[in-house]
Amino acid sequence: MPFLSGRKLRRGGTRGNPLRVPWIVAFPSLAFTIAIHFLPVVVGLWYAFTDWDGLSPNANWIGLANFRTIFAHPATRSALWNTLLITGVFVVAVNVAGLALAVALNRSVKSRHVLRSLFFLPFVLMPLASGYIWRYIFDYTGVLNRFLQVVGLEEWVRPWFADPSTVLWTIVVVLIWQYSGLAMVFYLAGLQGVSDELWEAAAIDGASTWMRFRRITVPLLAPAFTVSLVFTTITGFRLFDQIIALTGGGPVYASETLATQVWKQSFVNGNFGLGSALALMLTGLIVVVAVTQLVVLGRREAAAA
Amino acid sequence: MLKKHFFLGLLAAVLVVAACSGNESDGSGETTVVRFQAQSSLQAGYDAVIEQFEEANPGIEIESSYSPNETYPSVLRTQLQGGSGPDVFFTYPSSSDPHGVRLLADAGYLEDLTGREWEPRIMESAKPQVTFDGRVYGWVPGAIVAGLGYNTELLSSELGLQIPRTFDDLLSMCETIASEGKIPIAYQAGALAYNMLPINGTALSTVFYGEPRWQEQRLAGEVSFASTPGWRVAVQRVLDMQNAGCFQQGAAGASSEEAFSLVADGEAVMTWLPTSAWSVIEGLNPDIKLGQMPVPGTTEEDTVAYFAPNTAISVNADSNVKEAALEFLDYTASEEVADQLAEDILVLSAEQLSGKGLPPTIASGYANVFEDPDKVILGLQWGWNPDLTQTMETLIQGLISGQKTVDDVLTEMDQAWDANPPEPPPQ
Repeated sequence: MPFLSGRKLRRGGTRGNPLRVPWIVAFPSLAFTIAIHFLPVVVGLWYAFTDWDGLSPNANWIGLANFRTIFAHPATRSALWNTLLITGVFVVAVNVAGLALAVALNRSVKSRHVLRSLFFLPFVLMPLASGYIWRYIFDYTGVLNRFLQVVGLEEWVRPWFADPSTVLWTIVVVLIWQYSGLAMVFYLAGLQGVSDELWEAAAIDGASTWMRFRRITVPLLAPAFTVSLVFTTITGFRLFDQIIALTGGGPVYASETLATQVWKQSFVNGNFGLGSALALMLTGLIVVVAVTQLVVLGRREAAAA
Repeated sequence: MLKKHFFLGLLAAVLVVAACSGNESDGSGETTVVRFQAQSSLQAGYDAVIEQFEEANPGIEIESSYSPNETYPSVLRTQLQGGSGPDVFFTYPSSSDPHGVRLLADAGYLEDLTGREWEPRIMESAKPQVTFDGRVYGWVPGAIVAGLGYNTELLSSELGLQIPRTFDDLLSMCETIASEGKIPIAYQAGALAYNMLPINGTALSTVFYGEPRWQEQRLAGEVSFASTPGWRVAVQRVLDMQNAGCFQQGAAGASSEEAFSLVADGEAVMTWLPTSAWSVIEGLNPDIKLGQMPVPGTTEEDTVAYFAPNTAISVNADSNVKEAALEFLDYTASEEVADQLAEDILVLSAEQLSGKGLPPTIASGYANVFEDPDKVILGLQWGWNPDLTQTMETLIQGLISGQKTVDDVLTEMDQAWDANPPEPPPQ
């Protein structure tokens, strides 16, 4: 395979630096990726500044009016706040649960391989399908309320999805169930890199279990934290399937997220321009938060190394 | 060796893709595949017709798919916008939904069906709703009647109750049913679209029966929701039903599946129901005997029926198999098949809407209402736009969940109307 030999590559335009990108070779796939993934997004940006209804042939330029609507309309304003709230709670809860599971199932438990599979299983299920299953559990006449009645906790029975004060937290419970297994896998992978010798040495020096976890395990898990936090943050911002299956965004916008509003405004209400503006805002949020996380956590990783 | 396997795999993949796409050959000639899409509640009726059509037309295969009633409009609209719409599909004879005929025709998605054999048989009240710029874009199989669907045996035989003839009778009946440990009305307020049924049930009687031109007056700025006493009464009555214990706990978040299951299982007596969705409950409990009744007015005199020609069938303007698609549409609209379908999917003809030959299950619930044409009223969202319809649906849900008051509903409807007024009704 002389074509791929290092010598050929150097001659083929990398000018003596083997790490340099061979642009001629990369160009076709790069152009393809840009055309398929990025061009439609850029074209879509334009719609965010128009009043296009998604059907008619004409769209009028209306400047920033759609963005003003986002902050003025109760549905979109609520969606923005709910997205930030759900993402914040979800990221913290799912990572705490995932880390706890990973530490618990890393070594000592005998049936750990079976348990790891069981905890990871919810992540493999389709979010929409599992959402409908959870709907049957949390419905007023569903399994949970019937169970509470049977065990004598009638005062805890409530319409979980119909009450604006409980609906978001009910959704968060489903999300923790679905994604804790994934966070667990990230942390388990990280824990494989923590050598037993370090723990043993610290134990001989008299460090408590908590001190060893805090001073040895956590710093060495820095790369796993980066991956898990960034991934779960992006997942939190993009929540859609579970909300549609569980509540449809109700009651009265109490569980709307930016993603559900993007879809509703674009395809249900016929406000494609507003939907595009919401999508642009969502993309901006994800980019800003994810890049900030990467920079901050990257520094932590460097410090830990 | 690896290379050989790779190419064999590639070859197999190409063959599979080739076999799955385009026209299929059955050895005796080409088979044209027509993709047909409708709401789930219509499946039983259309599956039978498709089988008959395919038997009569061996060269055409109908590939049908059905979506739940609540999500159907957005599914169809998403497909059309993405360029992957079905060849023949159900649309909505108005502009109030995302799959409204007039909206889709205006955007060029629908085939012009003017002059087809069945055009003169479209019911008069539905004609303006499927006509755009003087051209016809859909066949209307009939009209649904919507109101309170009820379990006839549970109501009459087990509980010994009569159909309520006044609104106060309905409230007392709710209390009686609740005292027997049953749910009077299983309300699916979590399925937004169903929130139009209770408000239609009350407002058609308190607003539109007395003033059929209210919508035109609102467009002219002569009246508003908040300034119309009938609207206040209509919204208050939905709340009155809630306060009288008519609805189950958690109604604001209940799905249509949950509400229909409660009726099918005999736990609830009534639910908000269009006749076209009876099949869903009958599918859950084949032994159930359903009936339909209106929300009674203040007296028997101002009790009205809410009807809606709420389904039309249209053909995709960009279909690659247009001839076959039109052939299928013409078949479903042919007199004999249309009558059979109307019976199966429980839609009524114009003649039935005027009281002649009304199915007994509906006639018994409505007393003499259908004999007076002024009392058979088109649903109030006809002529609205999707934004306005969804605002009303959300506000009524909020009324049930306690997030909105009667004043909030009226004020916010006025705000929504002023921000995005509907187009004047088609002439």
